[in-house]
Amino acid sequence: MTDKEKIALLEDMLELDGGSLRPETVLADLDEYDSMAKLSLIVLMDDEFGKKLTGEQIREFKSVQNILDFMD
Amino acid sequence: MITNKFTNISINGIACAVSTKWVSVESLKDGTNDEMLNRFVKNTSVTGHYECGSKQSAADLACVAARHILDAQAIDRNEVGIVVYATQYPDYKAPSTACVLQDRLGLSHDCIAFDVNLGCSGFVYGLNIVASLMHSGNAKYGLLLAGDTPSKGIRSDNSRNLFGDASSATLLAKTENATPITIVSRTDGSGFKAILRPYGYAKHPDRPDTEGVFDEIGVFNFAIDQAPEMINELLLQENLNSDAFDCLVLHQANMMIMKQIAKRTKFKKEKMLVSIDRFANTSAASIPLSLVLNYGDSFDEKVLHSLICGYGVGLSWAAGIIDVHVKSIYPLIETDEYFDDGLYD
Repeated sequence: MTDKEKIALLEDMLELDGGSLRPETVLADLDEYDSMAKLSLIVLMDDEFGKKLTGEQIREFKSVQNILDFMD
Repeated sequence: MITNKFTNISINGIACAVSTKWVSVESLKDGTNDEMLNRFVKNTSVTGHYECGSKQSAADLACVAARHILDAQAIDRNEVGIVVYATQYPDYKAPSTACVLQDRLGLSHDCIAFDVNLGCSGFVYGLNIVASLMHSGNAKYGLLLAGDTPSKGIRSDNSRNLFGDASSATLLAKTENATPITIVSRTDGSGFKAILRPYGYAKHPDRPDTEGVFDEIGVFNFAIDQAPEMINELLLQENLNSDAFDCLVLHQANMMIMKQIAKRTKFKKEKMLVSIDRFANTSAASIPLSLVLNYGDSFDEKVLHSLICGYGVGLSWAAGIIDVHVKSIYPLIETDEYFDDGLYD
């Protein structure tokens, strides 16, 4: 999956318009990245990438790029 | 996985009670904007919840629900030999609220009564306990009461929106050749800090019992991993699959968790009962409440072959296979009734 496709998945999850997110987007600046979104991210990682995501790992995500890297 | 099986116990009645006060999520905004509120409703499916008044407790609701079943079926109070009350919000630190309920329900002294300190798994654990006591004893009927009033322990509006007050009563009867009840149980105390109310009790007596700890992500991961694993093991053990069941009745933690459990156990979405939308997370009452909400007003002459699963604080989780006749599920009761114990505040 390309980074563009991964970002589209995240935008869809956060109900953002296409093009809203960039790799350097800081997660703390996104109102939409709330506690519910973090739970959705766990489901997305499991469904799309077969990866388990812990609370510790989520806390380490500072930017969209960190999430993209985890998806690999 | 600990398995308990009963072939001489049937579930003869399920009733639930809530207060008369329903609180919408909009009324508890706590600084959130409309967009955040919409997202909350979309993700959790919660539109509101019931809250008891200051004088009303979960035991009051459970008492009303139990009395309703006993009266409707004209059960001889002398034949009810067990009252187990599963709750995280007992009326008192001591004694067990179940002891008070034995008297309030007009039951005889020939009665086993005690509380069980479990939350979201409390209904399934409670069924196991009551059925076990009945199986090995001479009581004709047993009552499982399960309910909570999280509104009395939660301070922030956001958390208040996630939880609701409700109680249930379930009447079990000794019945020869009943359809089997199978219950499986697990515990993982290493996760005790995931959901925790540590203060004001023996370990930390000097701090008031204010807001507890809730590790949302840890609990989410626990629920979507362990609950499906247990259900799938149960199905394998019993040589069944999801098609064999009329309904999947999960603890109503949040919609995302419930959908994941249904998906991972291959249950069709339409078989999963939902009450979280109107009642939020009602802890130990959520499984019977889902049956009441979906079937309490039905006149169907049908037996619901149901797979139930509760999971949460402990960490504690349990699943079961039970049969419930639709006619033994009563309509929801709304009540303001409370017990005046004569003590001063």
